[in-house]
Amino acid sequence: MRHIPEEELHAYLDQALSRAQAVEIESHLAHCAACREARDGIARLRDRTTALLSTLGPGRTVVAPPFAELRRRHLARSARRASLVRGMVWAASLVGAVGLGYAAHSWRDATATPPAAAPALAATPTPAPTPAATLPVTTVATRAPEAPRRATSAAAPGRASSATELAAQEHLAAPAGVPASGLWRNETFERAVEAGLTVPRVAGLPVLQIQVQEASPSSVVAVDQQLGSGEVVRTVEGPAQQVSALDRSAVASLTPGAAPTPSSASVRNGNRMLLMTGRVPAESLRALLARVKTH
Amino acid sequence: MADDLEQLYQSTFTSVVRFLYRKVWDLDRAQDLAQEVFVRAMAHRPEKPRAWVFAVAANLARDEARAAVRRKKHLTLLTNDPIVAPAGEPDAQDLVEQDERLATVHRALAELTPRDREVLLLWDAGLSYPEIAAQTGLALGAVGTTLARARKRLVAAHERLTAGSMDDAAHS
Repeated sequence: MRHIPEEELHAYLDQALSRAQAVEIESHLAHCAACREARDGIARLRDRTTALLSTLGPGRTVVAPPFAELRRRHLARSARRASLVRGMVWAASLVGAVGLGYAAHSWRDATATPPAAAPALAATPTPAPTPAATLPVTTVATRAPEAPRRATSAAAPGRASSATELAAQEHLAAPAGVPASGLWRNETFERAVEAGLTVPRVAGLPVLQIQVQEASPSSVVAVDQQLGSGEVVRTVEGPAQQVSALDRSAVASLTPGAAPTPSSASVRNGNRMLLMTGRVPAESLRALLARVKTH
Repeated sequence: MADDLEQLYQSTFTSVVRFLYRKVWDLDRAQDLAQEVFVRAMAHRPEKPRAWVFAVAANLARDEARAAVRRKKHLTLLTNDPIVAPAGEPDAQDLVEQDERLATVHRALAELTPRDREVLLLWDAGLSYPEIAAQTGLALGAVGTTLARARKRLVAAHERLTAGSMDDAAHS
């Protein structure tokens, strides 16, 4: 008589079989000592695997941050998305074809990097994207946060369309206070790391955005993160000369609100500098600064 | 609907972190990525959120690994050596022994083929056979076969690696 193949015993023990299949296996096991023995061996193997893998835990207890924190992060993201879209619409209407060209250009940039989730989505039976999501206009909306944001200064090198730049400055501007000493662009964490950039951040805090400014000899990277209290802190890392030249009070005035006044803390390491600003007490900033990871 | 996601978050966050940890081997990074997964879930509102969450987590981990390879750090990832001590109460001797045990399991896991490892980790993270099949592209019937092979190889590799350090095992 046919014995039960081992993969079926695995599936049986994993409770991955239908009730009918399980019954069939159980009735066979009832009168087949060899298969019972095989089942026991596989049960031991299975337990052993689980035990081995459980030693590979993260080593310390993982505590899920409050769900509200994630919701805030999600809302912050949608809000930026919405304001960016409004800005783009405004810019387009103001400068007509030039504005459209700019938006289209941004859109191409943004879509050049496929969303990380796409391949997995394709492989799972999750619902296909709604038809609307494939329309370019919606794509602009959903991918917009990754489009380059530009904040320009009068001193910025002349570019092809100053009207577009002006619109960008007013409506697509990076958060208030980004120093107007160069162009800041938004980056995703993955892309920044891929580009070999240092991404200074406090582990465990939600990242709101990452911005990069080209500088010499290497780029300046600014990371905005949200504290549990809702305050936003910005961490900037780069060549000491460039970082120290940033207007700290301006960099700190990220979030509206009165108290506490923006403060900053910095640490210099050779020719590099790490700067942190936010509307939190200076000693909190110094404590946070000590927790910043730069790899 | 939001409540469903919150419930899933409460019940699954730890599993997602564990799953990611075994791929990126950095707890802080695993937690960052896990949060990112759930923030994305809020925007996407997937119909099968549990499977979706692990699919996106696997993707983020894969991107991370690719980036690591580009940074030429792949040697540490591939050999999984040395093991970074998990943070905890550092009790010198215990920690050393724990590190060695960890390192052995870590190496044994590294000996599996990527597909076997993926299926095993997904199973261990609590996914069902159909969910694993959907995520890996395997036929449903092949999941049991793959798991059977992966379990055998993991335990065999671990035994072989442990036998290699018999001297250490003798006095413990």
